[in-house]
Order: sequence, then C-alpha cells, then structure tokens
Amino acid sequence: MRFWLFFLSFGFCLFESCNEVEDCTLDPYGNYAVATFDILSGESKIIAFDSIILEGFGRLPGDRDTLIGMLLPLPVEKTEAVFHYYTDSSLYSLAVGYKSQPLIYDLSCEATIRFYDLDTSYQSFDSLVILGSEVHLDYVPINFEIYL
Amino acid sequence: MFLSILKSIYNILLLTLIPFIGMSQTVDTVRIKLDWNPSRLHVGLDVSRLMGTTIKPHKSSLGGMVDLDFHRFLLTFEGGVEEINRLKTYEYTNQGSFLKWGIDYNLIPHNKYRNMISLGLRYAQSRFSDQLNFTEENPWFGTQTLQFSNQNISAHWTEILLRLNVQVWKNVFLGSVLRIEIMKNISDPDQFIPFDIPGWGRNWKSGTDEKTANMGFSYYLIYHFSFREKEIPLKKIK
Repeated sequence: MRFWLFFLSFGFCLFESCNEVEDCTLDPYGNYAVATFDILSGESKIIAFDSIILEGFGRLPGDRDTLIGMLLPLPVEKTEAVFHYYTDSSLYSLAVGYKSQPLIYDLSCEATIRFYDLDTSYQSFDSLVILGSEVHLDYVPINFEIYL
Repeated sequence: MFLSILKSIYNILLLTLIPFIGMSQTVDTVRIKLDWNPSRLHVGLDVSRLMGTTIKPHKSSLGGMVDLDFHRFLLTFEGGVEEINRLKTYEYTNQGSFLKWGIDYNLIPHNKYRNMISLGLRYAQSRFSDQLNFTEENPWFGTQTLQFSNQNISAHWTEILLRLNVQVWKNVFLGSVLRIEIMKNISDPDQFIPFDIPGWGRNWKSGTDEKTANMGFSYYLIYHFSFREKEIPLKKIK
C-alpha cells in the first residue's frame, strides 16, 4: 500500500516538474527578414535609397535613411513579397518567396508566426547571397546579403 | 532526449525482469496445458482524465479502457475524447478523440489477489480538429487579426507501457500506467502544426521544436468481470 501511495505521488510530482516556465522575451521569431547591403565599388560603405516600396503595401518607413541593412516585412497572408528599391539613378527589385506557419511558442507566451523556406524568385542587384532561409533571430540574424 | 528515453525503457525492463532470471532452473517440472481461453474482462474509467477535467478549466476529457485475458496476455483497448480551449493572448481550441489498442504481458500471473504488473505495447490513433485565433501587432501592417484552422487531421504513434493493477476491494482495482509515447506521425495539417494532440498531449516542446517522444501517466478505476473460473497458476518451486 505504501508503494502504491508512493507511485501515485511520484506520478503527480513528475507531471508538475514537466511544467517549465518560459521567458517570452526569448521568442526567436520575427515578422521580417533581414538584408544587409555591401557596396562593391568601395567608394562609399553606405547607401541611401530615395524610397523602398513593398508591392501591395506601399512605401516602407525609414526608407530614406542611409542603410547598411534593412528589415524586409513579410505579409502573413501571402507567400511572396516584392520590394522595389529606388535610388536617384537606378531601380532594383527583389522578390522574396517564403512559407509561413503560426505557432504557439509557449503556453504562456503570445502566438507567433514562423517564416521559413525563404528564397528569391527575382532580384536585380549585382548579386545576392541567401545566408539563412528561416527567420530565426537566434540562429539566423541575417537572411540576405545584397551586393550593389 | 530519445537516448535518455531508451535508457529509461532499458532500466525499467531490467528491473522488472531481474526477479525472473534463473527461473528456468527448475528440477522437477509438471507439464500443464496452457489455458488460452479468456476468463476476465476488465473495464476501467480513466480517473486522471476526470481529475484533469475538474482541476484544469481549459480542458475536458473522458477516457476508458477494456481488456480481456488470454493466458498471460491481455488484449487491451483504450479510448477517449478530449476538448481543449486555451484562452490566453490567443485562443486555441482543439477537439477530437483517440483509440489505442495492443497487448499487455502479465509479469506476475501467480498473484493470489490477481494484482498485476504488466508490460505493454500499443498502437494509438487520434483524429481531431483545431483552431488558432490571435492578433498580431505589426509595425508595418498594423494590428492584424489572424485565424487558422485544421480540419479532421489524424495522428498515430506507438506506446510502451508499464502497468500496475492493485485490488482495492473485491472486484475493484486501481490501475496506474506509465507510458512512453514514440514514433509520432501527423497527417499533413492544413494551416499549422497542432499544439495539442488528443491522447498524446502537448505536441510542442517548451521551445521551438515538435516533441518526438512523450511520457504520460494514467490512473484507472477498474472493475473486474469474471465470466468463468480460472485457477491462479501455482508458482514454480525451484
């Protein structure tokens, strides 16, 4: 009987010990991809765009800043986001394809969206390297490296 | 994780089988015809699910089991229904049912009270639908209300069990089951990977990955229907 009571108690204790507490600030998922720019000419290490347009949304805020990197917002309801970068003399375009998946990161945290399988179906820069095909702020801080 | 579960299974098996090592060293043996005809039917109610329904406001669940003996084996069926409604900053609802069937092997058939320690194997299947609603604050697109759902998806997995049945009064037994759930497979979800699977438990680790293995406890209140007399086999004496 004592063994039985011990076994019952053991089960409850085991269940309770499995309830881990999660720090929600460590949520590694964001709703944007990250691109950095690299100037091939070497004359200037920073670049200023006149505007950056996301098709279906419009002009992105902060687009007139001098940039070494840029956040690329990814709409959940679509599977492709097309960006147009205007300078005083050129137009560059970048079409990013992706998959998205909602998930509950942890019971106590907010639900979030995971973006993965990032790829480029079109781009008009000199070259582009995909560094990480998933938006994961811990493992993949930069998704695209763009050469101008 | 998987390795530690395998180690646990090995340890459980080892501890359970140690008393039986050397049993084959009997000097005088009497050949007794094995009785494979069933004699008892166990019908049980999953008390842990009832307790969970009482304690946890977001969950209501009902489960039961039936088994039938064949010599030292038991053909076992377990089943149940489950409904979960997690209301936090998101709303997640999940409802479905599960069925598990398999074989148990009684390690102490000589027990005069018909108490039982058994090892078992189950194939489990679950069918369910779930839905996730939440709002997301997005600096570019503003506040978005998002809704996702999966309809009639199924999952199946395998369980290894250690089960203890103890007589508490006449034909009433209490049963506890320690189960290790492995080899889970979910049919393609429509829109998102489910957070819960009825019969399996939480599908997500506390983190970013799906659970590939799980462990659970169940407590059953069991009634023992005996439809024919069957002698308790005598323990072999060395």
